Amino acid sequence: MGFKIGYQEPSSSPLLQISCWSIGSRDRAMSGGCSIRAIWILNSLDSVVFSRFPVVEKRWQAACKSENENASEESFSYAVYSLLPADSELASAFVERKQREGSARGFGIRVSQSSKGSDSWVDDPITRHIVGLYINKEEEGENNLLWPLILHIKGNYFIIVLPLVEPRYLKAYTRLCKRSDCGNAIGADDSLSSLLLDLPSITGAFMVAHAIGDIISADVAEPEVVVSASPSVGGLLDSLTGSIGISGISSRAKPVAAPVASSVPSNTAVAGAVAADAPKIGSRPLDKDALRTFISSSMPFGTPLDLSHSNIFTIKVNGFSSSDLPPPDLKQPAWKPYLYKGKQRMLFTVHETIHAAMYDRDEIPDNISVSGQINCRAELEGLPDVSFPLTGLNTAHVEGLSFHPCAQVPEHRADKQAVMFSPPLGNFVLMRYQATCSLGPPIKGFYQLSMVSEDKGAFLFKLHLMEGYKAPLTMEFCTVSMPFPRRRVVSFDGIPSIGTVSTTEHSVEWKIVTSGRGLSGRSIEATFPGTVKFAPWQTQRLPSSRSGFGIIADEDSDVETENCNNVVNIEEFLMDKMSNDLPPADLEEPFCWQAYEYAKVSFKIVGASLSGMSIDPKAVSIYPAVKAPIDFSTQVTSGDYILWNTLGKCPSTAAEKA
Amino acid sequence: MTDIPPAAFKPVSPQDWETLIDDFQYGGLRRHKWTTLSPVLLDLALSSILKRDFPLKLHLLLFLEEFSDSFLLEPISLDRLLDSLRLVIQSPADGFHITLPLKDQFLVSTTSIFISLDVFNKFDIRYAESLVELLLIIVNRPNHGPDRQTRAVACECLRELERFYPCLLSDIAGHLWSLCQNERTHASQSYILLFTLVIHNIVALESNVSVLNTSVPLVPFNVPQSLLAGGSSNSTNTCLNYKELRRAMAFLLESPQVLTPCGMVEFMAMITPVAISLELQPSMLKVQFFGMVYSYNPILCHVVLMLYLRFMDAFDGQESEIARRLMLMSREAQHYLVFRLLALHWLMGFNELISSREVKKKKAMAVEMRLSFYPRVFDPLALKALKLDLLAFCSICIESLKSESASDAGKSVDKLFGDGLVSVSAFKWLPPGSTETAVAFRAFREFLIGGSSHSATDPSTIRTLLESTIFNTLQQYGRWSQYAYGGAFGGKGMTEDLGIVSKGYGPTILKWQEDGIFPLVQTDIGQIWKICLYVLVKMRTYFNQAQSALGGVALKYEMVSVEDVRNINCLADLLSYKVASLPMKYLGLLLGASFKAKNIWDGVVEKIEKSLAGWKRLYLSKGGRITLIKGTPSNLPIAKLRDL
Repeated sequence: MGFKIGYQEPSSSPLLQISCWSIGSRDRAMSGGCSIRAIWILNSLDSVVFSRFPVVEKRWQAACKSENENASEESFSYAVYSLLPADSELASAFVERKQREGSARGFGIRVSQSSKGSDSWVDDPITRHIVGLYINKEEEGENNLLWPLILHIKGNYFIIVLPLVEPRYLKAYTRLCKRSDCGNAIGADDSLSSLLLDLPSITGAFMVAHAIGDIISADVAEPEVVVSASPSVGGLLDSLTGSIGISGISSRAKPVAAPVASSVPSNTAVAGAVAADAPKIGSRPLDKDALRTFISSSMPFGTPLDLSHSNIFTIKVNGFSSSDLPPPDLKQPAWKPYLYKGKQRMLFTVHETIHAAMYDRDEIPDNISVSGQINCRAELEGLPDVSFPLTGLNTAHVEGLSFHPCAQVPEHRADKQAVMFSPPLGNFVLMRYQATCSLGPPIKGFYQLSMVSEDKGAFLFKLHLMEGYKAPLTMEFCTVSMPFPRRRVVSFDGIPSIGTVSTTEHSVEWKIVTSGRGLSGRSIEATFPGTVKFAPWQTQRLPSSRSGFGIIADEDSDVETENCNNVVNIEEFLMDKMSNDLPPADLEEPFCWQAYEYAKVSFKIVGASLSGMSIDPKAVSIYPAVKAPIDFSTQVTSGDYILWNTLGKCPSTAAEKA
Repeated sequence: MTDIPPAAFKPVSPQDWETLIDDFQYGGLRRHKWTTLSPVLLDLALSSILKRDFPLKLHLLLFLEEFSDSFLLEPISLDRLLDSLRLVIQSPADGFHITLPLKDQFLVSTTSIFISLDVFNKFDIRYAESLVELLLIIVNRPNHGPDRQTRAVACECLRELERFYPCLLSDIAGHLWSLCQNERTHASQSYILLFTLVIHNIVALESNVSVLNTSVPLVPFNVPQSLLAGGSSNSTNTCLNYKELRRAMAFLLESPQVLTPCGMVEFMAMITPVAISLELQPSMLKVQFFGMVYSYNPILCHVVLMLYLRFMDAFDGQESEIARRLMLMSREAQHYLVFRLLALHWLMGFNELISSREVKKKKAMAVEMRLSFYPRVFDPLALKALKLDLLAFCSICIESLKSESASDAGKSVDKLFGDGLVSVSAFKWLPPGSTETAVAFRAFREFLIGGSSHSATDPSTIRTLLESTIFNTLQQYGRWSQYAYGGAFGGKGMTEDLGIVSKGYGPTILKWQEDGIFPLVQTDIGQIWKICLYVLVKMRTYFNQAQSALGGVALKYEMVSVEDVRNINCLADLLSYKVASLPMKYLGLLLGASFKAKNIWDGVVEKIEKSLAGWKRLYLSKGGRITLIKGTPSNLPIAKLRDL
């Protein structure tokens, strides 16, 4: 045949220039895009779902070919691993890495067990999320690294996404994890940071992995929007989502063949690691059909187009009828495939989460932060624009505002007091912000715990609730819990000035304000002295696999601590004894929680935001103008609201002051 | 199930197909046993898909797509494939046997098979042309209601074909543009992306087609002559039709608000090179897209960063705004941790990038931002580790700015180091295996050596290091830690200690692994690393084991170089050691002397004799001892008399 078209091996093609261009420089020119080569979803035993995109694979192989040809003159030239492994190969490589790196995620930081060529050799915590696997390790030597694999763990499932990157990035990473110097260096050329900056496909692959994770866990709940006047909008929401088919996701028929969901691993060492990495949130069977539908329609040809599961499943279930007319004068956005029809209204909810570390110490200031978001639901016909001023921005110490993609943010945000957006369908998070508390902390006071003997502790709480909080602010509930994860509570003694107390095996719970009896317009003071008795302390030996950062305690030092029996202070002695076999914390944790004594407060406050963020319903304008009632509500809940034991150790950080 | 199915075995039932698909995905031998089937696999699959009540239609299509590269294709199969596709597309969707998702998937799978098997080049061109024609017929009904999703999918198929066979659709660009302008449903994204790619390829291939011209009909579709004829077309397409292309760009730049975030990534990846080729004003792109940096969607932020990388000059002066934005992103507690880590990595990469352009600016910026990199209490340890990296980077900047402005930079570096470490200060009392310890020592190293070049041959490195403020700070830690010496090294013997300093890296690594610290050193390290390591080892030992140190006992330490060690005086000075030389006495023996020499054993003999005397005393009975004591004074006068 007398013709050849572009995408062809450079060797024999008459269109040499074009084909070279099409393979080499074109992929480079379009390196900003995001394409997925393959997706694997593994449970602890086997591969469950596997998707690969031969079209992307073809691009990859062409890129490899041109890279290998170009690199032949260079000194470090070697072929990159150009094939996609079969399920079995990938699964065994994954297990191999798990054993080498201590857990499915890996060490993250270079430790003494790190071997050259493995991820932790790179010495960067992000290698717990972007991993490399050696395929068929025993067979080949150099070029069998598969990277970058995006690892996302959801429930019992490991979601692994392989985005397309240029082979030269793979080579750069190979150099990084095999280099002979002493680990991560700041400001070095070709550092991991500059690779990540160059590769939006990695970012995109994370978005894909998280979207798939949401589907696996059926965690497709929309952000919560509450109506302040009526108790709940649930019924209406259900009927709405039902009518556009959102509820159809979880109720879809289960696949014929039940997937292998057994989580009995082959050896116990791995089991411990898996359990630590993946908190079990109930192993439900995987809805393979839903996954397949999602993968094939959200990324035809491996290029993600829309990762909104509600859109995808609605289109799949309902399709479009001829009555779904496009807007007459505007283009309908791809993120809004359906237009709302019916009674119009708008709902806003400010939702804030309070994180606090309360020390009650002179040398360490208390630390309270608010992370908030404005959730929105716009039941508006057509494609209107909505705008409103953000009141409260002046008083609130808001430090970072970020918006939904539908919001139009001007280049120079001189007027960041106003938000303009074109709302999508359903509930969405309009904006997020970080702020400080404009009111005082909702719960103030101290918690003291002192060990009077090895197995008995005396504690005292003195708390002020809602001090200085005025009328619309209502505390719906407030509970304080003292966790003792490493001690078993045997008995407990003490009566609080208000509320009720209960114990579980490893904690004491104090309900100060119970739901149904909200606290509004007044502040209360609550005290709670008492003692708690534990079962005798037993030394917990760590399983060998969890020696984590792997310093095998010296025999000598063991002896020394045993000799400390003459230490007068029983607390210090106990702390020493207990902290000796603390397991290392995950890098995802802020610190080793078990090393500290603390009380955790959980509460919910409604009526107003604590940062001062607010929306004036009268100031919301909709264009083209329609009459739609606008509802605004707030709710504040606690995140990590911690009262550290005033008499014990506590984690802290330096204040950000010059 | 037998290992090897009989040659005549053909999968018919859904169960058969499931087994086959599983085997293919598993790979290896399980897949290999189906090899005999591969010539007819496509036909078999197609006939199953066309059965009315076959339940696995979609699944089978996906299978065909994924493993299309393993089929042996005959022209007759291609005919069947295209016929089946036509049949499915033209049948009305009854929502049961023929569904819209089935149609969409059939389009995608067929296109994918065509591309992976390279049907365009390996078979008669009419197959390719009829596929493209089919797709164009679907596409050519803008705003048609019920099949809008299928039209969007067909656009994606065309885009994929255009991606692999550039300028395949350039002759009909005019038609595509008008379709693009007309489409108002949500499918418009796919139309826009298709048209953008066509423009991109026209510009990249410098083809001189007119994008306004609609003289070539949309259907019947013919592959452009320039692609068929071979290299001959190159001579003519030297000039681009700039005016028309700019118009097309102006149209495209109006449309981004209809794109999804993922669509935006694709769009920007195509539009940026076009803008460069057409020499558009980068400020146009900036005005249009910079706002995305304020989105909480990480991928949109990354798009802006990519834009920045391409047009650094246009963004001049906005580096600090971008850096601030990335820093804020890392603080958003609502994000998944990995996006917060990514934001910090981008910031580091971004700093490196600016530093290559304008050194002073970046430094000033980093120094200015240093306080915002302080770790916070509830930051996960991974985030704390990266923030400490950034603080280390700041301290390097301060160090290097120190010479220029003789301010109190030193104090500031100290402060950064001390303040940063507060966040992981629990390493002082947690067991040595704790994550806090690992993070803290990673930070030590970053602060200490992050600024120096990693080359052992560079003679200036050691001087830089020894002059650095951080090193002075660490030195104090070092002095402080010497009290821990007895507890730390006493049990292990002095030779090992010496080994660290002088014997080269072999023992060093050993020592470090014993302590469980990361093996920082490999071969090719210079003197500098040994010193750093030494200080670090001492500090670490102090923190881990010094609780029971020999409080305040002043010991004298000597260090001895076994090999040639440069700067040993310097090292001794900073550790308050004395430099000694071999042979020296250690554990009663002369260290470093030849063991064959007789006189070195004198000391040993003497020692043994002393001990023997002591033992004799011990083993005398009480009565014997009394006799001895009594007897000795009674003999004293006699002894005295003997002297006389």
